[in-house]
Parts: sequence; C-alpha cells; structure tokens
Amino acid sequence: MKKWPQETVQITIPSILGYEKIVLSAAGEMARNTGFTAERVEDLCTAVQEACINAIEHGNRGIKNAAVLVTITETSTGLQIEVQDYGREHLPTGLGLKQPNLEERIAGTGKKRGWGLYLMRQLVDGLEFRKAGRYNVIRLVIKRS
Amino acid sequence: MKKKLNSQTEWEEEMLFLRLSGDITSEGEEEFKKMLPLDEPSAPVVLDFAGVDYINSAGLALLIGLVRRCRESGRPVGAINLSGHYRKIFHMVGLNDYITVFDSEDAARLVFASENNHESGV
Repeated sequence: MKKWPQETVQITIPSILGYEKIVLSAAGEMARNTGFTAERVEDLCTAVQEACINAIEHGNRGIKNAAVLVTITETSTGLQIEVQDYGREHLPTGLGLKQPNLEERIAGTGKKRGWGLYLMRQLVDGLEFRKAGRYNVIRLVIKRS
Repeated sequence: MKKKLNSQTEWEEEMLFLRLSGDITSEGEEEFKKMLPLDEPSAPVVLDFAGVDYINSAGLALLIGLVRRCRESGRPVGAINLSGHYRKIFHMVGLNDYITVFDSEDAARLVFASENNHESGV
C-alpha cells in the first residue's frame, strides 16, 4: 500500500519577478503527472504564482539574493505547496478572506493591488499562513479535481 | 522567462482592437498607459488576449485601471480570445461585470457595432 507523502520537490528562486515561472513549470508538471485535471493544474499554477510573487515582493521586499524556497509535496489527495520567504513583512492569518472591492477600484478610490491573496483563497482547497522562526510560510493545499 | 507586453492598435468599423501579446504583469504598466488613443474617445475597445498566456494579480490591477479609464470616457470594453481559466479569474474578481467577454471577434463586432449604430441613431 502506498504511503503518503510520496514525492517531494524543492526549488529555490531569487526574489526577481519572472522566476516564479520556474516554480509554475515544476508544480504544473508534478500536478499533471499525479492525475490533476487540466483545470486544476491551471488553478494550482495561478495560486502558486501569487504565493511566489507575494514572497518576492513582500516577504523578501524584492531583495534579489533573498531566496524564496518552494517545497512541493505529493499527498493522498493532491499536492501541498509551501512557499517560504524571509518574513520582512508580517502576514496576518485572515489575508485574502475578504474580496477586494472592485467597484471602488474602478472608481479609482480603492487600493490598486491586493488581488493575489484573494485569488489564492479562491483557487485552492486549503490556505494557511504561519511563521517558522524568522520565516513566513504560505501553505497551499490543492486537490486533484 | 518574462515576455514583454506589447499592444497593437487596430481601428475597425469605429471599434478599437487592442491586440495584446506577452505577459500582463506590473512590468506592462508603461504599455498600458499608452493603450488608449485620444481620438474617438467613446469608441468601444476590444482587448484581444490571443497572445497572452500569463496574467498575474498586478496585471489584473492594470486591466482594472484600463477599464476605469474607458468608463470615464464612456467606452464599452470587450474581450476576445480569453482562455477558460482567465474567464474564471475575471469572474472571481468581478471583471466580467465591466468587460464583456465574447466567444469570437465576429460576436464583438456584431454587438459593439449595433451599440454604435444605436447611439448614433442609425
């Protein structure tokens, strides 16, 4: 009988926008190889993309040589992805729970950004933020279908 | 890895087609600023996403800004060649309330041309 977790992949990227695509390639490939539907692969990739961008821009404040460590683990139901940064900014646990107000933003009165965490919450089956020593860790759990 | 955002402007039947290619991210900000020409300020705009396969949350913010500018001058906004995944993302964000997503270029022409004719009394 299979024991889970079965496979783990770790990737380290610098805090440079664009490098998150390397993570997406790996996570997408792993998802396809472990039976994810095409739709869930795309959901996973967008959620992981936003987690990595958050780590690059906020957790590491764009300091290029501050690494973002991504750990992708196969589970019995899908994949778990942890994205770790240096925790330069604190992540409150409720982030992304509330939908940003598009009407205000269209009117030019609200904040311009802030969709990433909301999208993560919408696209995955589980999302947690935690502090691990000095680091911030975002954990995404996504099922195959 | 990064694909620079480019936009090509095409006027067709009093409609402005913006043919987008590359990544829609924060780095496309300058490109977005020059997307709307000043002539025909209320002509409908159709965003063609055929050449786009990567949009992130910062890119969504730029699209929202473009919609805001279009609404200020009364331009209807449409989208064509948007993948199923990004249709879903637009729906999650609520952008589909502000951008009409068409199944084809012909559908966009048909709907926006009839709106133009209606507004000009034809």
